[in-house]
Amino acid sequence: MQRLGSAWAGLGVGLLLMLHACQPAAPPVSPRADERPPQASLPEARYQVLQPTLEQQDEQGNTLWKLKAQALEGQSAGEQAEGTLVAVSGWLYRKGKPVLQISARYARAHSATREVEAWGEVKATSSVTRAQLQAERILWKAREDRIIATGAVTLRWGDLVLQDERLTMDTALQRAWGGE
Amino acid sequence: MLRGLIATALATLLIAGWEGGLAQTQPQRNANPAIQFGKTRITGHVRYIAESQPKTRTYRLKLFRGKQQPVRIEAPDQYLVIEANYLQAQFGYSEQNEPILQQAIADQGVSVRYARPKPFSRLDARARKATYNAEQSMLTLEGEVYLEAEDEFYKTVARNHERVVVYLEEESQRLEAYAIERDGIPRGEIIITPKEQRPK
Repeated sequence: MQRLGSAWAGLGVGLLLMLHACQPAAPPVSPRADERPPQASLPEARYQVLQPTLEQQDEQGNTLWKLKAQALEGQSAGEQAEGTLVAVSGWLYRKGKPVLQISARYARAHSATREVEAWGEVKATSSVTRAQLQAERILWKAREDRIIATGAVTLRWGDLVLQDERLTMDTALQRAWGGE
Repeated sequence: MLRGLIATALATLLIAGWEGGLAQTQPQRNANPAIQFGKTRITGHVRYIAESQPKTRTYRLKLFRGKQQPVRIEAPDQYLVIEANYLQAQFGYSEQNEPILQQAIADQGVSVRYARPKPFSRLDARARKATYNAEQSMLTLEGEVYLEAEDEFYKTVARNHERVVVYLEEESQRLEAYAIERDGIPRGEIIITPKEQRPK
């Protein structure tokens, strides 16, 4: 129970940091040495949140991604916390529109770099091209409009099937680059 | 609601500890990446770019050979095999809605084989460049063309041609050959040998 209490405290700190991360970007300002805020120290704890829905937006308020999962399992210690979404499904967006529906056993998102990583029987379907992607793992880079898929990758465009161990695509799965 | 917020908080926070593992990993590359469209298959490529055109239901590819082998496209429904260092292909659908190789442009170290069982027609050619157009049933070979062709009645060998156009229609199969010229003198050679006709 005590551990759970620590967990809530950690989540509180996390929430503050997260909200900060989702604000529109402002010019970075280096704090003066004597103004440096105290470092957040998270309790050593493990968390599980059931059926969470997560999303991230850009500076203009456009949704970048929206994921729901059966569970979010996380842990924190010191200044870091990390977590993994379990049994995930959701959408990746381009210019505020949902273009790729994905599902995977696990996923993580990095709000600062605007990347989403998913692994374990990853499946994705493009609403633009109806293309279907399967892979062991994908890394989506929203800023670059690129998906890097690895491990038994299969991309289907109707009757056209591309198979490789590594394939780079745009978010809508309209273009693919092999051997990069 | 609170749960959702907390989850979001955790996710964003947590993520601070993640270093984007996949981008840094170097997965083992499958030695045999493959591309298939209907019965048409492409192998031997290492680097390639593919693009889907959903409105026209066409797919374009640019492929580069690997160190060990050339890019190879096999279209058995169209009796065609092409190998080259560089290949552009466009796939689409026929009027009967069957997946076909619509166009191919092969460049550098090109070899082409066409083998149709009925009516019998066989062609083996080497050239610097080959362009295949399914709609026009036409194969254009360019640059130091060497060709051996055969049908039910004739065997043909053509060498030293700058350009050879092969019309592949079943009813009007024919060649047009443009010889290489040196000092204004055509060097091209075509040898046509009638085949012995067996009484039916």
